[in-house]
Amino acid sequence: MPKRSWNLPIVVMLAAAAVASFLVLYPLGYLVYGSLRTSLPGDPGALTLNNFIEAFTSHKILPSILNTFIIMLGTTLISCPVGLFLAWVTTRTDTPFRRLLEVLNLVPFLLCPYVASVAWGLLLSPQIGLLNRFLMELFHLSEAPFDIFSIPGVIWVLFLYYTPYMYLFILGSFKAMDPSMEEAAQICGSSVGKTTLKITIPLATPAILSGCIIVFVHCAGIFGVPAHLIMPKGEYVLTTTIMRFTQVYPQQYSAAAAVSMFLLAISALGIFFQRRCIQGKEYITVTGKAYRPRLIRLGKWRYLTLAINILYLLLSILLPYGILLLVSFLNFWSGDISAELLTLNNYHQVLLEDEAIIRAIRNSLFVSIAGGFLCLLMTMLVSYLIIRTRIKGRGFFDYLTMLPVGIPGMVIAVGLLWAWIRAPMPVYGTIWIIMIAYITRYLPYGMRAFSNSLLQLGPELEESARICGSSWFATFRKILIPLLKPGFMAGWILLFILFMRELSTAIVLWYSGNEVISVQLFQLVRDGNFPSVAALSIVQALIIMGGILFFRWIVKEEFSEKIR
Amino acid sequence: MTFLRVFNLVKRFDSLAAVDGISFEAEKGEFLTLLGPSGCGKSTTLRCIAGLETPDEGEIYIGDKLVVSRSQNVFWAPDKRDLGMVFQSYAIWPHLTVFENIAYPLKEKKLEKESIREKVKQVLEMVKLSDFADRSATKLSGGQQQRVALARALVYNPQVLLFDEPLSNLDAKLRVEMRNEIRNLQKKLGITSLYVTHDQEEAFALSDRIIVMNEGKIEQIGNPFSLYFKPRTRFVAQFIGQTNFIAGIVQTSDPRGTQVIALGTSIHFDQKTEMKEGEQVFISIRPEYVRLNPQGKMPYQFQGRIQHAQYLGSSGLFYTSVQDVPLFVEIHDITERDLLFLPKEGDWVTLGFKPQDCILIR
Repeated sequence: MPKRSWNLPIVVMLAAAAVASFLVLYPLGYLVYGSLRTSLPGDPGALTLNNFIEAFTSHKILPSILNTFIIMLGTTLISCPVGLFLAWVTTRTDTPFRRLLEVLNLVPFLLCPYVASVAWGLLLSPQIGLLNRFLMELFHLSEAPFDIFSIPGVIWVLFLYYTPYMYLFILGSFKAMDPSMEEAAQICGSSVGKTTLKITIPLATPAILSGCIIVFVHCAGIFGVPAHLIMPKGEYVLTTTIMRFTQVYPQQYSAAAAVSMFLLAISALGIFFQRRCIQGKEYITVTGKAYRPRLIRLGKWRYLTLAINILYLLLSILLPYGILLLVSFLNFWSGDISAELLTLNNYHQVLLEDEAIIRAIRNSLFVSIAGGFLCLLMTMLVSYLIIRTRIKGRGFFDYLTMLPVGIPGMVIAVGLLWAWIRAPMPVYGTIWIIMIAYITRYLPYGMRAFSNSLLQLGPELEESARICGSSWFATFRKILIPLLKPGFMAGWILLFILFMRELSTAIVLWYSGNEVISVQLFQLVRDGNFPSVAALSIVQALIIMGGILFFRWIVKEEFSEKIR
Repeated sequence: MTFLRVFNLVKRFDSLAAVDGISFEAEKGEFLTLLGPSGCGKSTTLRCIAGLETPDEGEIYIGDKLVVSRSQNVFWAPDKRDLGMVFQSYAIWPHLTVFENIAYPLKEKKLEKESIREKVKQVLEMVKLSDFADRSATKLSGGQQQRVALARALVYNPQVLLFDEPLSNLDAKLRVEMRNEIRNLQKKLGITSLYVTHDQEEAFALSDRIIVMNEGKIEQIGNPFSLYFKPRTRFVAQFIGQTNFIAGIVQTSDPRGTQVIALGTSIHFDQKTEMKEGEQVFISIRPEYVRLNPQGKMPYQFQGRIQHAQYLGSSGLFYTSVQDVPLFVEIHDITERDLLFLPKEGDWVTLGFKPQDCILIR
């Protein structure tokens, strides 16, 4: 007679959940440990706050904290209104081509911000920046009008890159808003403009606030842009300070851990407030139905709004990648462009000759494809455990796998550095540690993708299969997997893009042989080899585009819906 | 021959008992319905029988087989119980065609291709969807999906057929059509069926017997007639059809009947109750049995005032108050002549009833 017992599916799911928990807790644990002890793990030592004291009294730490906050604040303050404006233009006005603009405004997501900062360096460097020289000639100036290698420069690049985050948050809110709220205001006598200001925007406040906090927190953890634009001048932010501590000789790992804890605290606090902010004020505008909101007729002004949106796209996509494309065909970069300098040599180098670069491309592809897959596999099992079973304590796994949202990539990397430095397994220094770090960092994205899919599907589709005679595994294989495939593929594209772009996590764990494309770019910039940098950046962008087209061809789903 | 047996079933969610110790049996070929309001435990009971929930206490037998018993550590997985189930949301798999949906259980049983095709064809004819075999499941209307769900549940001749509020998502007209089809099919095939619904009319139209449930317990089991005319609890009297409750005190109770003091008089009922003198009792009388301004003399008559009157075409509803006791009266077959005599709001009227039209309930 069949008895009740632990069945295999539950065991598999619990194993996946255990692995996910381990991935999150292990580096965090070591980070806390490393920041509070006098010596490296394995060596005898004692508990101490000395590391914190040393780190926060060290040279340049206070300016770096100040710089970080200035950048966070500046970026948020600019990207908020711009993101709001773009969302409003594409969903609430009769601006021409707004459907196309809606999709194009998300393209900056695909781009690596570090690469963008390099491109803007080429455009607006004070001596040889192309755009500077163009403006100087146009307006007969004696000095370059802009110097990108400054804190305002960092804010500029970050604003261009983070506006899509704000845009997405607010877009979601606008699209789901019940138009009868605005219609009621108009019937009461409020003009269109007043309605927008007094009804539409306030109703989107949770989304706006939420987006602001997310941008604010992400800016704290960004590495590449400040590393390129202000580190050469001796100006630091928290992330570049952490990097410096791991790169100097003798290495100050404890100081790195201490500063990482501080960075973690900022992020965690921010995420905590963001959660609170959403919970309290979730106005009942989001009913799950998709509405057709009434459009505001702008008349002549709609060409202006179109122009502004196009300007944004120009500045965030066309200009930077345009210059990169140009420079990738040049022999060397000195600010001049002439026909004799044109060559295909750079691509030849990048794709066929330079072994280190070729290896980096291979590594990136491997990590992004396999790492994305493994991350999704794990989150699929954990999501199923949380949503479909009634195992006690599953809320704990839910909480744990969403934790990395509040942990900057560099913090995870520093924790892993500590954890593996004396680990028995020879994972440190290989491509596997990069993959582990990436998977840990992006667990929440995988979880989101699956929870949405599973919640939409409803348990009856599996239950009816069980009643019809399918075992649990047969049901999983024949019913669940085919239905989850679109969600899985969408998640895979997303992770592919995020993994390909990632820099701040990999830079700390970099070792000769495990470079990925972004790290390789960093090295090439250090060497001053801009044409190769440009060529590799273009290759990276093409790989990402190619990946998207490939996945889209397989799934044929709306891209912009899935990215959320 | 009893075919489905449930003993002392208990199922708790956290500390709340959704099903609180129920027992019942179904005969082979019987159509049995679990009827009750939301949250009464009827769906949970069904799901325990299906194997989609595990009871905390109790036993369930399908045929002669004990399929679940916590105390004896027995649990047959849902795929091993030989049941068919029709879900409220139909649960048709969107990535398969109609044919593939219905053929699925046969494929799991590893039948021959020809045999599968035959059976699916047969069952498609039964539900009148013969031309839909190759259609994608997503291109069906609600009613069609429901038929596919029914076909899928029938195709492998399960011992017992379970229905979890299958008609709730259909519009009113379709609901009536579908329930007739379900009833006819069930009668023709003779499959023991257990049906869950909150709709009293549906339960009455379909069932041989009905189990009325409330807050995890069984209130009464019986055929539609006995539930309507002989409710045993206040809940059943209220839930099935409509009724008035007049509170009273038992004066005497003996083999000749019960004497009750209510509405200022002493009323004799032939119904024998085991109640004692001084106990509170409720007189339940359906609104169609309260007579308004009766022609002859009725055994018991009272003066009351019309609070509210609604004329609905061939029937009328009158809300009256008799000595501050609300009595709600329904009059059928109103003709044009009657219109002249219909009372209006504020009028004083005579209300009468016969004790044999009443039920005494604790």
